[in-house]
Amino acid sequence: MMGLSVLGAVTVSAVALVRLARTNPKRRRILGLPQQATHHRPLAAVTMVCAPGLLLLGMEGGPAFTVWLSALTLLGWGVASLGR
Amino acid sequence: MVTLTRAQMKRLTAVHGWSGTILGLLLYAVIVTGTVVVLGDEIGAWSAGGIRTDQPIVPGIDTRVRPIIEAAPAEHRTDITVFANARGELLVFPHADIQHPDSGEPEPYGTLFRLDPVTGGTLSRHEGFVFREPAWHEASALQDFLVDLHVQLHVPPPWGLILTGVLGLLMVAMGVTGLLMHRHLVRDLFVPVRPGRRLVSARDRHVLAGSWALLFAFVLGFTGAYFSFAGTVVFPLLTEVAFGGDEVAAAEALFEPPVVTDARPAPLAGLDRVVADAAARAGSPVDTLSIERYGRADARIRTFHRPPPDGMDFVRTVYDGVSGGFLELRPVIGNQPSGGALLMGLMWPLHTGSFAGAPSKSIWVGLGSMMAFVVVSGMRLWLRRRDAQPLWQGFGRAVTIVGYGLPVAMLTAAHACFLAGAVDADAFRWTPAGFAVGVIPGVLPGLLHRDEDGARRLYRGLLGAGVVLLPPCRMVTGGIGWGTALYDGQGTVLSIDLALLVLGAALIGWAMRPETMPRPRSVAAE
Repeated sequence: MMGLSVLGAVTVSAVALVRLARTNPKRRRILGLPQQATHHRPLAAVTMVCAPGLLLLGMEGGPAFTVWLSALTLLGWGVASLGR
Repeated sequence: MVTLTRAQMKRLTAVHGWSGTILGLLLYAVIVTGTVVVLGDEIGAWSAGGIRTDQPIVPGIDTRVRPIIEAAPAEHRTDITVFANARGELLVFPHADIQHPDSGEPEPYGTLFRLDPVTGGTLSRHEGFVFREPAWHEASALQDFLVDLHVQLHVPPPWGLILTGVLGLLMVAMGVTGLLMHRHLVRDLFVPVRPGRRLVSARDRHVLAGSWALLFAFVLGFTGAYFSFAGTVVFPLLTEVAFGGDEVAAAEALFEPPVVTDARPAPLAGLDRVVADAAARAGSPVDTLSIERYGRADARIRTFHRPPPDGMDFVRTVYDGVSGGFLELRPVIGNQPSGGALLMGLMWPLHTGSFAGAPSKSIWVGLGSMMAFVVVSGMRLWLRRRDAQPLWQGFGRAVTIVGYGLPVAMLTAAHACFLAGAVDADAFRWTPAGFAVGVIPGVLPGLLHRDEDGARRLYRGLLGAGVVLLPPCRMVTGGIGWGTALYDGQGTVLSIDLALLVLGAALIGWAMRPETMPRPRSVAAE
């Protein structure tokens, strides 16, 4: 049960991380991508990254939260290093 | 974010860079070995020939343990410890603490019985200072070697522990200085690595990995330093200051359950009921069982458990040794739950990732690899700024040699462990010897290959071949085959073999891939 909820939380947060990466203005500039027309507002995506972890902490406790946080650390590095 | 002047930033860069340069290779060695020993238990089961059972301390244990205790000399029945080795064999150790002639310190002395967990038959027995002889109580020489390499770099105690403790603190210090130097940490979390092999690309790689690794660099560095210093500095200092140097009084106050002395003779409670009750209360099977003051009315039975599915800390229970009644769940230190005990209890799971089974351990392997990348990329960045000077070119070659040579030597140690087992040689002696021999193939490519890219490709090929050959080497030298592993439900053996084959193939593929990016000259503006 804990495994499924952690997997779900990591997936949601990872999707939000990808969104944050794709809309990051400095990243787009360095990669030579066109700047987005609308002003960059990362608050919703940041909330989407963090909320699953906080929910996990409340519902499943410390181990699930720690797995989520550590997995997100690795995924974040991967998304920032590899993805466009 | 702290704003630094140009002079402060220059000093901070010097501290960050020079400390990393001076101790970075040792830190890399500790991190790489630590990354491997996250899977220490699994490597133990894999290299020891597969486990017989993963839960040896279960109801039914009483009829196996009690006859051994009753036959033991009275002076060795002071304490009895029951635990399991990497092969899942049951170890029963009636003992007393006796002053060791070399160390002058009290150490456990008694007879260690190694039992088959399925039949209960005695496989071996050894009398002496048991924990000084790893071959008596450990099943895997490879696990023993790798853990020792990580914990104290094979430097004699206490200096090895002090050295690794300093390296743990260095990791924390590098994190702090890196955090202060990088003013736009959050804003730059998604800034990509600029392509090519320019100076700025090297900086991007280091900064990006370092930024994401920051939190766990603190966690792993601090907890590692704690484990290194706890036994060598902290507890001896505490014993001296608070207990006048009386180690027994310190241990009783900090770790022993309080007990009213009662030396009247009394029989030991049934162990089966205690084991079943303890496993139910803890939510995980008994990992270690100890009996204190056997045969007396004030006897206590204590059990230790790995973290349950909903917890991170190990669980410790105490039972009355005569009635078998449950007395308490004990914190790791002190007699009452406290913030200190909570923090201390979290140190081990946070350092090793051993709290949620394979998922947490796999992630911790990833985090360890990430830390190793941060250290190497930091040293490469430092060297790229100085690569015109011959001295620094030599150091750059040393980084390549250690970076690849250490894993090569670890691999030869693993091969030596299996080969020694096949010819009935002492694997606990030949595994470190294999590491020493492995220094030759670990160093030679870096020394002989004039072109550094060529040396790296050769190293990758060497590593890939060594990794791919490990599973067949294990099987040819007497390890269980995949069919038996599947039939016996020993997923660890199969998983590690498959992981090694995939990793080895990837390394060989990487070695054969042609270099696509030419090395540019350094640009001063970068």
